[in-house]
Amino acid sequence: MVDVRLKDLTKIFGGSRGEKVVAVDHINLHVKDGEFLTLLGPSGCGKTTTLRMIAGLEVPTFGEIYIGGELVNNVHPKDRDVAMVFQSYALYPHMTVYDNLAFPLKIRKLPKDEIDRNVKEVAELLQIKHLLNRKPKELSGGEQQRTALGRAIIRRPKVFLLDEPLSNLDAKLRVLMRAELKRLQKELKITTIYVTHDQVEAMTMSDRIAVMNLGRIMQVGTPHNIFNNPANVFVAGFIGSPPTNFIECDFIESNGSFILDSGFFKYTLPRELGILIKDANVSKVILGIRPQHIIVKREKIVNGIKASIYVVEPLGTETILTLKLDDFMIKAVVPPTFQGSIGDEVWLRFREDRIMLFDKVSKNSLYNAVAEKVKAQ
Amino acid sequence: MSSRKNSHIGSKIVNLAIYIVLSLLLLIIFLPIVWIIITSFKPEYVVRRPNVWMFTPTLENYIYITSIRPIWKPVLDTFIVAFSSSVLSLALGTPAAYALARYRFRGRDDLAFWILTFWMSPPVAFVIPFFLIFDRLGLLDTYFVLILAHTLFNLPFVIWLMREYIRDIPHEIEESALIDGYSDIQVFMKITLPLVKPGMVAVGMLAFIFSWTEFLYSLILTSIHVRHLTVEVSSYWTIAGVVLGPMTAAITISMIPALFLAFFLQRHIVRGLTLGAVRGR
Repeated sequence: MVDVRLKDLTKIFGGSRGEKVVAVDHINLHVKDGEFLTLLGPSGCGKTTTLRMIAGLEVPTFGEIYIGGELVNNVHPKDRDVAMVFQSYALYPHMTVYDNLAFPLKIRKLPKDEIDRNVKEVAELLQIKHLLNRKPKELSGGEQQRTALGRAIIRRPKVFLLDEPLSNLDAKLRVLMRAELKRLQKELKITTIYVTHDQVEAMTMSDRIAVMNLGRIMQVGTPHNIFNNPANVFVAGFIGSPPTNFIECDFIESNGSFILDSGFFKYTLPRELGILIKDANVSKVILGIRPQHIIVKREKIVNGIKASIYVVEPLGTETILTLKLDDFMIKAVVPPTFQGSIGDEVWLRFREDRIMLFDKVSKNSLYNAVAEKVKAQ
Repeated sequence: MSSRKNSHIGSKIVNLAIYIVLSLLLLIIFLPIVWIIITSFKPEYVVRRPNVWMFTPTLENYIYITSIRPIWKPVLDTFIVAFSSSVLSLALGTPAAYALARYRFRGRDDLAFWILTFWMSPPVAFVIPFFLIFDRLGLLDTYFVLILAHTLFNLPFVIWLMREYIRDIPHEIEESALIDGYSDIQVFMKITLPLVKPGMVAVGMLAFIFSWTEFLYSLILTSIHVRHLTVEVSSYWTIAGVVLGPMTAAITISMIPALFLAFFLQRHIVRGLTLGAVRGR
């Protein structure tokens, strides 16, 4: 039973001119035994620093790290029993693939025949058996990546740490390795923390995702949960492609019903939701709608919004439309059968069950606030 | 199209100019060396007339410095000092360079620069204190004092260059070994050192050449028991005048190891000399 627990973990770097940079800001996170958890966020959000602190390569400014229930803040990296794959793979350039794989076992002074058996087994698993006598510089990117993975899994560590291991591969290989890595993790059942800025990797591979920004965790949840119930504007905007459309609206109560008014369209809220938003004293709301959740028709829709086509981007499986509403641009995804060209007039409607609402001031989801309130009552 | 053609011709002219300048520089550097080598083969009666280029080459100067006044003892002494001091400065300088390259601590860059200032300062500033201290200790004219002196003046640039070589190794390789189970000292000994070996060879060669050609410390700190080649060569400048023939023969012999090293290791050495020059860190 190996879980990883981060408690108030904080890292402050001192700059060269004495200025302080808060890279990781009071992170609390519990990675369960055997779980595949992804730290997802833009560059500079603190995800790699967090991973390096778990590995023991950075000393936390304060906060605690527990691996398998044991406080490891003062434990040397070699004694933490974690394995890490770096973005650059960090293979030992002066050793062959065989020696690279055998390295962690040699340090642990395993008998020679056992090392040999393990190396062959892992090489078989990762299909690099024919490369064992080569040096890293004689390998392709994919082969280097497999070797790095092999070196990490060969000693069955308690925790597996991966720092953007796929980002140096070409697109095709990346898709392939994504699936293999996921299968491998499920097979070995090793608790895994994976760092990436690629939301597709995060969505496809993870059991849970922790979305990070500016050193803080914005939301932790399953890929489904993160996608469908983003906790705030950042998560809603970061996850999903093309990005979510955000529209600022006024919250108006008239004749007992609650209306969101953006200037170019009006949307009547369900009554319960309206009351709760009113109680929360929110007057400005950000409405979020994913491009996939906008219905676009050539013919007039009742209560629909009129727009004109600005750009058409066919992708084969779907088509991305950029639509112009007055001075406002909005993106929508439509089936590939959609016929339309630049300048055409269209009508669109938002799927009401998919509308996301955020407080303009706090940027947090109003649904979550409402849900919490309901829970409190 | 035509502008591209023009710029092509322009770059050719620039190249030509560079080659002319380089050739002139080479001539300036090589002329004295060629003159020395030629002079060393001149018979005594020709030596005093520098304008003579046609003569029957003779080995009499070389016979003089090998049998009448043997040069072997200074060659051996110089080798012992140069070899020991370059090994010692590498052994001391590489761990220091590692610390300056890898560990984050307050004032690290200032410390590194402070070390470099010793390389910039004139050697003569230190030689008198050196002389006084080792005179008191009774260690003048020993291998120890000269090896120590040469190690000390080589250390700053050994540290500075090795630091750049170590920085060239991706830190992640060392971190990977840390996670895989090595202690910090094992990482340094078994991962970093094998990877900077080419750098150590180049820097060691430079240290060797600097020690081989050093004159001031050798002149002041040693005299009879330990005799540096540069001191030996200068001693042909006697009260009765310069004994040019044997002197040039001695210089020729003393140049051989440095030329040999430079020739076989020029790629490493050029890299060693320019390392750190192009990096902004």
